[in-house]
Amino acid sequence: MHVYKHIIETGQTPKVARIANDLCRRVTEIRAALHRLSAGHAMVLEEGSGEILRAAPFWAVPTSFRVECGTQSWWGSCIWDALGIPVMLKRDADIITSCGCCSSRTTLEVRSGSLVKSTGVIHFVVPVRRWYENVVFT
Amino acid sequence: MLLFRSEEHVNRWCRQWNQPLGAVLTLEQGWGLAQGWYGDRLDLGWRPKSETEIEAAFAELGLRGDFWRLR
Repeated sequence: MHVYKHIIETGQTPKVARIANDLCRRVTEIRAALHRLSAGHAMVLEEGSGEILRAAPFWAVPTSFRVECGTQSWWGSCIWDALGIPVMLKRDADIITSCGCCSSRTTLEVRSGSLVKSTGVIHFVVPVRRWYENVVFT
Repeated sequence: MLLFRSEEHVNRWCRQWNQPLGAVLTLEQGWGLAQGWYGDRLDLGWRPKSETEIEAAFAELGLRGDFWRLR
């Protein structure tokens, strides 16, 4: 919950050292907790650094799925997660993305808990049971 | 999980990148998935869905068949 609070307030995923400092815990404890969350697919950690890459539905670095709520913005890792951000926050939002094929820009509008003035289809290429074999590709 | 202008653009992308056609969802189905997965994520009592709950949530949105099975 602390991670989500930080992302929602700042638009950025917190570093491990920052979480440890905020919660007055050792870095090793935080890393162990993040690895447990990663094992349960609630998070994806960067290989090597162990920093948070994905705290579902938020992604740490820019993607093709930008979600804007007023003056704040976040990145989703895919269209499902991008739609999930306004759902999670229970806020109006514009999801700025593009066609996976022709790159034409499109904006999906979420207003009062509904998807409005939005067109397109969603393609899942990877069957469900294989989603976490390569979550970045999925 | 990408957004496309139309199914024609999905098919074109699959040919271009030599990928199989997976599952094509309407935006309404995608919105339903987002609500099912993230609607309660900030609740203090939130817990991950079980495999049975996930498959049931897919079925409620009309997402059935081998592609949507976890086991």
